[in-house]
Amino acid sequence: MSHMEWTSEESGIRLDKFLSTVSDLSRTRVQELTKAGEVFVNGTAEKSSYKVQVGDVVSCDIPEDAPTDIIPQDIPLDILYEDEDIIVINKPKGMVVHPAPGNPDGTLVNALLYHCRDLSGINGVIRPGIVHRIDKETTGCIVACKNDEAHRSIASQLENKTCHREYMALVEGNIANEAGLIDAPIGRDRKDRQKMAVTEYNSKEAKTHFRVKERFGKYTLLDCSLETGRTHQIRVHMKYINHPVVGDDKYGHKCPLMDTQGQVLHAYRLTLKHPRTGRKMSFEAPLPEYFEKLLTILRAQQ
Amino acid sequence: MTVALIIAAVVLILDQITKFLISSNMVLFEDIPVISGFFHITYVQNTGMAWSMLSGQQFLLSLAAFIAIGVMLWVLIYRKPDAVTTVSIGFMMAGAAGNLIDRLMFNYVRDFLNFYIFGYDFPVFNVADIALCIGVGLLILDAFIEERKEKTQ
Repeated sequence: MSHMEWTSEESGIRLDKFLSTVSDLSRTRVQELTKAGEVFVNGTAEKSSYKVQVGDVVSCDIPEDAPTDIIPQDIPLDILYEDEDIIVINKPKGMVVHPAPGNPDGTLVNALLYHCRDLSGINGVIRPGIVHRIDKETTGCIVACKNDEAHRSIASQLENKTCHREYMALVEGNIANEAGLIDAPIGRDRKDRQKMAVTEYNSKEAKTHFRVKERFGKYTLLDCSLETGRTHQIRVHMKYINHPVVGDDKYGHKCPLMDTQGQVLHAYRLTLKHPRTGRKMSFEAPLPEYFEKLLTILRAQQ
Repeated sequence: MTVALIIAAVVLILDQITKFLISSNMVLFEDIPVISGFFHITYVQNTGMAWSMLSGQQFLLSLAAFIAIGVMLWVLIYRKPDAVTTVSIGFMMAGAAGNLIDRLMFNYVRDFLNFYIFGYDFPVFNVADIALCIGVGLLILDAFIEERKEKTQ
């Protein structure tokens, strides 16, 4: 059970709408919680239709997800590195990192549970070993932790930037500059809660450095380095500069040349300091087959 | 001539050693506060020139550095400059060469010295940048002194 609290700065908004804007919860989830009597305004349980006033203290008790047993599954993994503390995997396309509603199994966590006997427990039963995520349709390096010390170390490294990821992204259009820095804050899209967007409202600083690797006229291959790690950061930033990631039908368009099954984005390098030895280590995942194939098609068209 | 080359060699080696140590021990964007809020060591890869001007014009920048080094060598050999100019050329050559090496090898320059002065985050720089500034500074100083001498005469 976790307890959260907000003070309203606005008036006349429905309680469920207010809560879904300030929290990470969906409107449906908020309505469920309100029905269950877990949402309080100034200490009393209120209905979803309650109109929030300035200064109202809205609090909410969120029950932990029912401890669903995650089954270990024998899913083949492309392991780039493994020792007793960490495991680095080249995540294939379409694999979800951890179970979520609608995706109870077949995830990286299921595969890891089968492969490793031990995973760090800090992130709860749903996300054992997981310190950072990669989108479902994105491929490439992801690190998981086998014990709590390693988990704490990598988590703090992600915070203070000693754990770093670099991506290859194919974007639409011909980018004018050879290199650049996109410095624009990212938050939840106010129009569509399923999306993120560059916004000044409830957003966090986000910085993406990019360098052109190859030009194909209508497309550009970029090497991206992230100074921050927001949800969908590269996809949102590329859309923001009007060069959405190819195949990204959420923020851009489907790829007309081949079925890419989502964004053409690959985390090709992961650099971190080993939690035990403190040594700087770098792991590289080769471009997936479909990505190479697409590049071959584009080169042939030139 | 020899003085300039010795200065250039020493500064260039210092520049490359520090860059190597930083890039092999620090993760990109890692930040080590030495004097918190004033001097940090932050590893960044700069694709532009000083202050990130002309970002992305790698080829132009490399060409400019080549020409600059060529001109400086020519001055050293054929113009036999005075002591101050010679020393200043030594520093400037090291500065140009230090960052040229980075551009040719990596397509970016490894920067790591990060100062915050009066709340302003001064651009991250490196030893080659310092050498370049010292060189240019000496040259300007020299010009001022020369001018004064001429006036008093």
